[in-house]
Amino acid sequence: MAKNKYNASNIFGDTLRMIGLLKDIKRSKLEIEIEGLEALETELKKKILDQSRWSLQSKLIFKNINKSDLSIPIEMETEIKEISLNLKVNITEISYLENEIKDSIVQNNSTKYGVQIITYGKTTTPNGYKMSWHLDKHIRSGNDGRGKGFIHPEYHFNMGGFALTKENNFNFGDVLLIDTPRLVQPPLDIVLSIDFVLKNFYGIRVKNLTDSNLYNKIIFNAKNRLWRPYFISLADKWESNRFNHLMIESDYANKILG
Amino acid sequence: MLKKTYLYFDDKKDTANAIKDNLESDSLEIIVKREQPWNNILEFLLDQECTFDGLILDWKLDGEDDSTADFSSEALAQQCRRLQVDKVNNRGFTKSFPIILCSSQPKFTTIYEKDTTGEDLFDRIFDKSTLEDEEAFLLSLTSAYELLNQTTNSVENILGLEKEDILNIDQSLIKKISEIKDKQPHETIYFLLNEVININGALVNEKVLAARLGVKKGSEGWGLLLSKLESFKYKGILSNENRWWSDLINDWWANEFNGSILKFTTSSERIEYLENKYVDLKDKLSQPDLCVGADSTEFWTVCLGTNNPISEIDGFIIDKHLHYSWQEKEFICLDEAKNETHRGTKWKALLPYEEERLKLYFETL
Repeated sequence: MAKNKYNASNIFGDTLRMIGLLKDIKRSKLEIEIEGLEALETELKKKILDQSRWSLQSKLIFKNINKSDLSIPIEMETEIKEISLNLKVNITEISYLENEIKDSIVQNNSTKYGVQIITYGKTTTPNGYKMSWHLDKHIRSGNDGRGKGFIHPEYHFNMGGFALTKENNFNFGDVLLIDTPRLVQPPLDIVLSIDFVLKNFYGIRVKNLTDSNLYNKIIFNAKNRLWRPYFISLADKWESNRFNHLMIESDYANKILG
Repeated sequence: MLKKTYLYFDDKKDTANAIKDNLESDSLEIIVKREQPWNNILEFLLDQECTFDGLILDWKLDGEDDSTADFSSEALAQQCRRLQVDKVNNRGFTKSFPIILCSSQPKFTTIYEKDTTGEDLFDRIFDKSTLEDEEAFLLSLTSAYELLNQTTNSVENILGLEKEDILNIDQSLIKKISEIKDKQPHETIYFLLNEVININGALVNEKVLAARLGVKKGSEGWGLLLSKLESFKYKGILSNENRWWSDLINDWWANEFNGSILKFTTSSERIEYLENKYVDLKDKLSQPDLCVGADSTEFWTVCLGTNNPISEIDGFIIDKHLHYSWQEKEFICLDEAKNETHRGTKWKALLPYEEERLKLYFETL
């Protein structure tokens, strides 16, 4: 029988190695503080009951983001004391065989996929400034009828979303917060969303880490698992005869393109 | 229930009698005794073992002019602990029993912090001013010893959990309990009090529970909501103070609300879920207020100083070594960090990098 390309132990092992690397940067003099690693570690060390289906939830807090690395409107800059970021990932995956090109992320009524990045510009008053980006997998049922016919790429980033619009007391100012456009984005798991945050908010400060072999090996594995099916199904849409040896989920590409 | 008896040794009989009057009830009897020289007191305790269920010792038994104590309370406690497991000169106790230390000396807790060598001999250390409120604790302590004095004990009995719930609790906690459960009762009790019951993590207290449910404790519907969570309450030994199993609450939430993750939701979402599920809670739950400098309503803990609900991203982390995986970091809010109102009593220091973060808030505009 053919072997599954990935199983829960592979993913948990890689995520634990990533946590190890992040703990190293906490220990180094880089002044980058990440909270929530221990809780994730405990989660990853639990007994794995099913190797072919795994679920992970993590909530990490990234501190010490340099204000000066971001272009903050000058009037706000003195008011904002620090920038902190909340990264929440909720993911359930199933494993496939090597030659199966399928979307491994599960989404149904009781299992939702989501990556949320909320950036806080913290002030000395309650309710400072915030910004939220949400990476969703398109929910194909329970549409409330709004935005009919709008494009819904299978995986899409949108700004705002629940975190901002659900807060009653949020000061909307003159920002128009709407849930469109939805930008095409390949799926991120815990490892890839940590990479996303590090490279978008710390850049050169973490270059030693993001250039390291172990780091890149972990990222490679995650992309191989999630991005290889994503991009092969897209390529197959235009170059179908090239992938005859693979079993490709028939409408994944169409879903990706929305 | 049979009345429980503590022998209380103090060189100041007046203070001791005042505490006795406030502590005693239909279920608890306190017998005040003056100290005696070493040989006499040990002789007395061994002879009278069947007449008491626990000991309360004053920290300094030699404080009065006519005091006859020629030993320290630690030495006496140490000898009692030894006699609870082993015979010395052919004499020993037949069972283990609680030993409490108390004092009215000002700065007692600070002095005691400097010399912690005797600390783990006692089940709890109290300032005399607070001892008189501890009737429930003293009683639950005697019951805990009674249970643990039995030769075989199950993790289920000690923690008050059903077999199927055991699987949903942090397994390192379960493992630890099964390792120590058949040792000296005092060891299990000391561990439970200091590493499980009185530290946030596996168990949470009512204030933290309210924060996690995104509900203001004073809300009209709070009591009603609590009654619905009865099955997640800690019912094990020493459950005189209310605690809830955090893992069970998290699992219940995910099962009840379509896989929604309690920790990821905002206070308004939590209330929406709860009020939709329980019609009788409709419009009876209100959100906690945000503290100064706080932005996130994903409340998860309370400030150690002010008890205000805060989310982890809005707190400053206390410098405290955590011993086990089920224990959670402790936080203070910006106000407390700036004003240090409870520094020295409720918390000592922030983590060094949190001190650095705090400095940002002192910079003038």
